[in-house]
Amino acid sequence: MKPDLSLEFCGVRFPNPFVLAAAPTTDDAEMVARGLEAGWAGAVLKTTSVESETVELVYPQMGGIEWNGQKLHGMINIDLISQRHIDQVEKDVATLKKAFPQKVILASIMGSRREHWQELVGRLEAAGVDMIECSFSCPHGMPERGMGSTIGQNPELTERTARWVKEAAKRVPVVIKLTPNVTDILPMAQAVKDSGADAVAAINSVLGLIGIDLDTYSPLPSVDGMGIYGGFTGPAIKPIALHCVSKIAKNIDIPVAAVGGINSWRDAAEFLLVGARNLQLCTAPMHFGFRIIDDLLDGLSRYLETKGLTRVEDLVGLALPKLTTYEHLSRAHKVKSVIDPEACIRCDLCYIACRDGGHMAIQLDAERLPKTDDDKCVGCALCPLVCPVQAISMQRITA
Amino acid sequence: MKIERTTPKTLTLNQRRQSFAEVVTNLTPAEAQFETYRCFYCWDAPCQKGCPAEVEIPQFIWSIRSGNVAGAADRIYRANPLGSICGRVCPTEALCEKACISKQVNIPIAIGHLQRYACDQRLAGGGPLFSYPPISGGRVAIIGAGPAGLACAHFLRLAGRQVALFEPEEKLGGLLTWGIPAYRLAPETTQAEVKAIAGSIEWHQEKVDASRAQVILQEFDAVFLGIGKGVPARLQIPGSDLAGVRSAVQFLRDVAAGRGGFHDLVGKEVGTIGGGATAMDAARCSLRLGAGRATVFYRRTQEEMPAFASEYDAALDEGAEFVWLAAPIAIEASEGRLSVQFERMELGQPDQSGRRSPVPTGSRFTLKLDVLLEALPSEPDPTLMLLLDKNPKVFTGGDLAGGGTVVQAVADGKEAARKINEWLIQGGAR
Repeated sequence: MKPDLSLEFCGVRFPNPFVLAAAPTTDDAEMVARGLEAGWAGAVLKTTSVESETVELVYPQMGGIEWNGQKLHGMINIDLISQRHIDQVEKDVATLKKAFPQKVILASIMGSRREHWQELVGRLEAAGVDMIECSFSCPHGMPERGMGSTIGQNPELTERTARWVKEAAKRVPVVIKLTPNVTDILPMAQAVKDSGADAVAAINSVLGLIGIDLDTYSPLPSVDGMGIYGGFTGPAIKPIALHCVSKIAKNIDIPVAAVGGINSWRDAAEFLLVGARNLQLCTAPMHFGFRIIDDLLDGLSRYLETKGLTRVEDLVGLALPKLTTYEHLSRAHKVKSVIDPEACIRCDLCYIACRDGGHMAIQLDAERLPKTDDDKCVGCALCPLVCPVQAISMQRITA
Repeated sequence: MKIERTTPKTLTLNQRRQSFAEVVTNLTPAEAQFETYRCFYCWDAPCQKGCPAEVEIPQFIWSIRSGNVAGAADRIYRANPLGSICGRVCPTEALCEKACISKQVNIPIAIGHLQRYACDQRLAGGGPLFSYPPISGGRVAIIGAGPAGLACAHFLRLAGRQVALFEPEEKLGGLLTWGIPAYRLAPETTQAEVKAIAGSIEWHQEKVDASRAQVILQEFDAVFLGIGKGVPARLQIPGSDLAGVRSAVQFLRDVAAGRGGFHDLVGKEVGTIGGGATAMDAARCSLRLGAGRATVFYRRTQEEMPAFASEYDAALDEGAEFVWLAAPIAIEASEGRLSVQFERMELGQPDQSGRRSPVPTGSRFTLKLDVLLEALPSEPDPTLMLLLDKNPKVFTGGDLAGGGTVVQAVADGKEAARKINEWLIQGGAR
């Protein structure tokens, strides 16, 4: 029997953990419908605002970094919230909810004043939304107006604003989306908890500068020769997101939706293991399309089977007890690098990495075959990371 | 920057001359992983359109990349129940890889090798390949257990139909079992996939003749005829009945069946007449059995040869020699050998196949050979062709319908299953 992939989050049962994050992918009801048909459990509609809010976008908006031929290892955007105001989004909510009653429709909102936040909540609830997400976290553009991450970088503003929203939400759960652009995310998550809001989503994009045009000296993306800092996303930010999600899940009693760098079912499983109860994706479907849901569901399902688990629920948080502090890590645990001469292709990248970046513990024989000097090897595990053919393993030394 | 295509290791020429072991090994996990990174994961991918069986190629490669190899294999198997077989024997250079977008900037993705990798991993992992629903009605007879018949049986069983397979041979698989030598397709692979299908159907090990066919036609709701082209044409020239002249198809069969008597090729000069896959394999088998020389005589040129480039290249690598524009016209016995007279041909106007036709020049030459293998185009068994005569409950596919490749046979069998199913839903003969 196939494992049960459904997962409850803030009292709402999602048919599977995979949700389209607030982004260009969710700014159009037709696109959202296509995503939901493809198999996504739900969508967070792109962040909307009251009609009086002006949203003037600039173009181009996107920049990317590639790594050895792989495109979009990380992506940056200087997009803003949706140009479609609440009057349009409330209609989308109603349409989508009618067409997909089993799927979860979330709306993301941003406001500058109490009455704006509360008006947005009221109108979305009336339109039939399932859940409301609040962006306290957009790192570019909006903070210049005291919105976005200006709120999420301050625990008092976070608590106060979350309270306004929660106050207005009569029927649906409220999720606060946090920014990683803080020295410590815990006080922010605690502020959400204190406000009475139902959950946090972590993380929004990481403030970054993707590059400089070497010909024109313009920051990228270049808008008529000028540039700004943008929101960095994609596979490269996964470790930052994994840190923030696990930290909140381990320390604060509040449900967490994970966002940031999820690309494959493996990433998904990792976020579930550190306590996420809901997974949002943006850059991956923007890059490859909604079709990636196939392998996300199939891969996760098969992974659960190999672990003998029947419900995705059983995976949530299993890694958390294994997160500790440096002080509590074992000093008795010793490993050393073992190189398989059969698998080795003699590129000697392990040798140069160890020689110039490790402990000078790998020697080459006359045939360029690397060998670990057990006396010098401290077991740092740099060499298996650089080996292109998985010929090196770290093996435990038993006393 | 060109990122090289990752292909599996192959046996050395020396090993190939001495063994029937598969020439091409499987990709290792690391090799397969590398190769997946080159795939663009194209949308509406041309490679997929180039696959007669409509395997979802970008999606299965994506799953291998994500580490979901079993999921990749199951996706392949959903479209093609002979996935591992086709991963080995598909002329990918003329199908999916011909259409691969990577080809425009680099070298096409090794789609065939990746398909084989995923399926072989899945087969090695054990567990049933397919799960068939209980039979819900409709009885279909399948005559001939080659790839077309097996694929048709598989998809009919998936639709809940009862299937009876008529195949007189001791093993199922048709040409997969009896025609493609082990160095291209390991018999264990064929049997693993064939058995996964055969487990859910009744197999009547009997030869169907014309009168039996009439009975079957009465007893079943529909009939699929997948008998291929089992009757090889023979040379019709003086001396073609001499003892040293043999059918190449029969020769490959004997090799596959492991029947003895091959020692008589050691050191011998073996000639093969033809230019298709059978001719290439006849020459390659001869060399493996110790022939001193294996020469292929073809009446046109390399350009018009029906064999795929990869098959020709492999034969050439292994030491087969080729004589173009030569057609045998008479054979005589001469001191225990054969004295074969050939006529030189030249290329004339294109024929119906679109290829330039061979035209006799009148110039002749004679060669001494020990064995002459005939690898001429085969024809279907005429006794069953009556069945096809305007009978709406008889369907066909595979080589009998033109086919030509294993994957086309699978596609035909799949399409026939769809049509048969439709026919049954509409009430069939009633």
